Amino acid sequence: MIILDQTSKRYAGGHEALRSISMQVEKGEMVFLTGHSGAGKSTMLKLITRIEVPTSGQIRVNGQLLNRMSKSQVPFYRRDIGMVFQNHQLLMDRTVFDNVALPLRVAGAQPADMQRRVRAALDKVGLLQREKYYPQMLSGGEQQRVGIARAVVNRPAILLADEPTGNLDPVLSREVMNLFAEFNRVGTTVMIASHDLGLIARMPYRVLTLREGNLVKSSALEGIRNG
Amino acid sequence: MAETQNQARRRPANRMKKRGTRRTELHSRTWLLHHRHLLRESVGDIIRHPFASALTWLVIAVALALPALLYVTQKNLEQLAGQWQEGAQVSLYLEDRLSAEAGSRLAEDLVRRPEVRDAWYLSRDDAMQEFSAWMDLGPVMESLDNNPLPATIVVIPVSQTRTDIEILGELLGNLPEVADMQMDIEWVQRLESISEVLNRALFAVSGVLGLTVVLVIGNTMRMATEARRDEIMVVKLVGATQSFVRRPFLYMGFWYGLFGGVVACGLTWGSLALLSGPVDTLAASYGTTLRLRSLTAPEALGLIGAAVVLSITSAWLTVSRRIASIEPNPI
Ligand SMILES: Nc1ncnc2c1ncn2[C@@H]1O[C@H](COP(=O)(O)OP(=O)(O)OP(=O)(O)O)[C@@H](O)[C@H]1O
Ligand SMILES: [Mg+2]
Repeated sequence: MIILDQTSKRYAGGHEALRSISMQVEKGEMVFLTGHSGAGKSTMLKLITRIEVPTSGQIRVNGQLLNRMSKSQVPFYRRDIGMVFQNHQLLMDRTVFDNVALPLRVAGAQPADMQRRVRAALDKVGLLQREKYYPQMLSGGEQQRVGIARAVVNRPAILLADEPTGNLDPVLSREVMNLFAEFNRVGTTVMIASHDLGLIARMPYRVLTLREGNLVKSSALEGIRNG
Repeated sequence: MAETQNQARRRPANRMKKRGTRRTELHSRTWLLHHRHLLRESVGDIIRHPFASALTWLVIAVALALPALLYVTQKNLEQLAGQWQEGAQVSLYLEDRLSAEAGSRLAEDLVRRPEVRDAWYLSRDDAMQEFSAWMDLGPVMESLDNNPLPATIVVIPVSQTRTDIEILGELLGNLPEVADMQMDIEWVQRLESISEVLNRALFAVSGVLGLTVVLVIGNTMRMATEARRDEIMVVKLVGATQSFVRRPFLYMGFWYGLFGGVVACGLTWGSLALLSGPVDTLAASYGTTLRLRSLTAPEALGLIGAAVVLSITSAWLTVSRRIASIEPNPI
């Protein structure tokens, strides 16, 4: 589903954020991406969502070669990927409903269809009764869940999340992770960048660890489990 | 592993192809939906913030009203000139040997020419009478023994442009019956050059003020895209195309153009209404009537249309450049 082949990313300042990464995430798999601050986790997610382009190497997602993708194709490509951000990227002057409906509106869904799908997504994250609220009226955890609802509302094949539990307490973090696991159970390919090693260790998924832009083997899972 | 990789490669490729056809099918419906949504939203926006946008479309209105007024002025001057143009004429002095009947017949022949509006014959006595009446020289002329004036045909051309009058005069002057020819074109020339000056002024003013509209809209759009920077980034993140992001701003441009154009027409009509009273008085004091002509309905529609096209185009140019530069970069 997601294949990186000797992918490198060097930023304009000359910093090499990713060094010749090769890895693969299978369709329907759920993986964690971890590593120290500055290791290149966000960079990898940005490459996959085509927010950044690699300096060298190939990326293939859902059968499409990103290197050859033209600017005009990017929007259509992104409609098949749900993204959750640490700072959730909600529009503060729109209601919860309108925020969640945004990907559907962009894709031109029918109003009736839109209502049904937004309600379903909000129901799944437990915020159905908050659809008329504005984001400022919600707690950090609730805002994060609105972001998740928006990411899954058009049932994308791939769900990416960058530090989705960064601002949350352990209980909420656990809930949010379980939510992702639930989406994975119905077939969505999920990739989550996270610092929260303790939480990751308690979940039965593959862990990719980055260090200084290099991929070090996913032995971290076993290491923490056994230790 | 190699096998799953191959599968992964093949299956999604099929899926994307299917999506492609569905996309074109959906496209027109999607497009319509978005437009309906935007129409509602942009009107609501204006109703909610009536004063926020007022400055922009007022500037546009003034910028459009000035050339419109200049245009109307020129139109009225032309109308005024038209009222004088009855006097534009070519005088043909006939050979002395020509009889009065032959002269009148020639005048009748000339009237039948398409480029001649009217022509009439003046015998030598008529010419003398007219001349002395005009110059108020009755007694002096009476003292002359014989009439020095030739029989004349006065020709009023249809076209009042200088070149047309010149061509006609040349043509008629070469007729065998005509001894000499004289054209009254000095004032035609003067009028033409006034009209030309006004025309150029109209062009220059329209150009400068059209540019003003483009710049005002451009600046407004720059501020609008800046104010909605976050929104643009988020919408791009969830898969909005360039044209989707641009569309609400084009609607804004449309409303600015429409309001600006309508108010410009109002300003023009209002100014002329203010002027018509004094103009009537002035005309009456000269013993004539002059109905001031304002913008006609088609002209007003043209002005509004030009305003809309100008502001949508300028919004398009500015916004396209702006939103291409606003790329999402979430942390
Ligand atoms: N736009 C950019 N321009 C230049 N350098 C950048 C840019 N974005 C990231 N970097 C650098 O690339 C490196 C990797 O950044 P990245 O954001 O991928 O790290 P990360 O693993 O997500 O870290 P964190 O856990 O703190 O979010 C960092 O050293 C960062 O300074
Ligand atoms: Mg990061």
